[in-house]
Amino acid sequence: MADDAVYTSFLQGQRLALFEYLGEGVFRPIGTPPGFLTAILGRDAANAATLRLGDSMPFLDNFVADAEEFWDSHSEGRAESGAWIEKGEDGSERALEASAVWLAGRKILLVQNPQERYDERVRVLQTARDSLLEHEKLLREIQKKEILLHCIVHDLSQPLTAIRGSLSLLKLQSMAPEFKEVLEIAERQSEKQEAMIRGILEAFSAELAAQQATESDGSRAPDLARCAEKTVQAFQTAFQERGARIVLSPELDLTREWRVKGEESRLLRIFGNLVENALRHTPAGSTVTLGVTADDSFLTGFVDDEGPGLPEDATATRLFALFAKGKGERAGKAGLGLYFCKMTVERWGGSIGCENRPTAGARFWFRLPRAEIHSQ
Amino acid sequence: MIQKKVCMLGSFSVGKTSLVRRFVESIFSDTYLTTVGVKIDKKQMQIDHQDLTLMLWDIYGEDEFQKLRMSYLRGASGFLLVVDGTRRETLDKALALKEEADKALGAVRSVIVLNKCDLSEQWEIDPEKENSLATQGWSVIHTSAKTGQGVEEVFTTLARAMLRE
Repeated sequence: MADDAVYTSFLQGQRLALFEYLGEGVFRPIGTPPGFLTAILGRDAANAATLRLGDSMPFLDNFVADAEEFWDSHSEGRAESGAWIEKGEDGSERALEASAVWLAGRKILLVQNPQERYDERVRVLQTARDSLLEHEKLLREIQKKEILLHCIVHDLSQPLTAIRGSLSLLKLQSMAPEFKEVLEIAERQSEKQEAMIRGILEAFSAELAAQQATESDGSRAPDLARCAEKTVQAFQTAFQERGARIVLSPELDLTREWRVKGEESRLLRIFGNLVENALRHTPAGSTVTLGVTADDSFLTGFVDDEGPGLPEDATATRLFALFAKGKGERAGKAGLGLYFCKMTVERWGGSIGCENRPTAGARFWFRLPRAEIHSQ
Repeated sequence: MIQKKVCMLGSFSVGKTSLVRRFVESIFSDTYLTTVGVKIDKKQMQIDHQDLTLMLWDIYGEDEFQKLRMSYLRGASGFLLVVDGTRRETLDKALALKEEADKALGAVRSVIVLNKCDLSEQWEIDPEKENSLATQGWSVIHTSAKTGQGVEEVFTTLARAMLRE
């Protein structure tokens, strides 16, 4: 077999066509064009001495501008077109890819029909996108159910207001001490129920605020260290009553800026919920420490306690789940505080977690993206 | 004959390919087949007694798997920003793509296409949002590639706008 025949046979096998670029959109075929190209261009055009590929393939016409730029730059490597689809004369569709290269001092365009590779890529992307759509659909369903639940909880709170009003009126009446005691129990329980309902409503509101804007820019973005400082001040009395201490980490430099994506009141609630959780596990005489650390593009707020640490079977997924209350006398009220933290932090593009500290106690932390400070 | 390049832009599975198929071939299929790469179709129209050929560039929906190449938009006279009306976030994506394209290539005539309007019970685009877009000067048209509603109107509106330039 002559060299030319071997060469042509090789190109046919690779489903590869070679053209030399002559300028002004005109190409000269090198060797016999493979079948896939003949099917697209037609036999006469494919076998012509020179041809304008862009006339039959507008995608290629657009790519020639990129190819010319590549050839003019005399760069090494190649310029690639990405995949496109052409319909053949028989109506069938073929995936093509083109590359511009320099070969033996000539401007060469390679046109390939990588059908198997393309089909495989389509299969993979189809699966990935189908899964994404399914995932989006499930999230929507969950959100709808949560809205419904929110409405139910909201409706439940309304008669409670009337009940509490009636109990207050009853308290004004003179009655036997044993009735008064029963009335006080009813009042305490209704207060507790109201607090739980409020907690549930707030947690749902946090979820529904998914589209709520956050301050991510400049001086208006909240300062994580200042939020830690405010939380420490707010909880001083509660800790004193328990014979414990709450402090800021001595390593926290308050002269620096610690601005994060988010919104201050909800950041304070996150710190507050983590501190309330720590307070429940803090033995008298121990200390809870709040601080902030930094890496490249994230800041991490943490709450360290000196309690018994996390139970062996506790995982972050379980602790931050909806209605996760913990066990025993130190269980939370409604299992919503940590859930609120998780929902809010994740919404802001962050993450949240907990771990046992090497010495004693547990660390609860949340990581948020730094706010972008744009200079004028 | 005047020839104009129109690019279909938007997230994946918003119905770009279905709109083109409905417009060019009057065909619709309920099965979602993802587009990989670019597919170009031609459609001849007559707008206000003027013959026009639309070169419709159906470009894959951008997502984390495929990033849109700005070079594909070169020479475009119009964009159809296709949105799935049952997925609110696809509107943000379409507007973000337009902004990116404008930065790279300069402003190009565009129409916002709120597709899948036959799925009214799942509709997620607020009328207020639509009004606000209209106030900002956007042409916003509801379409259904499934029923054909608004499809002709979308292409005609864009074609007319391109011819006015």
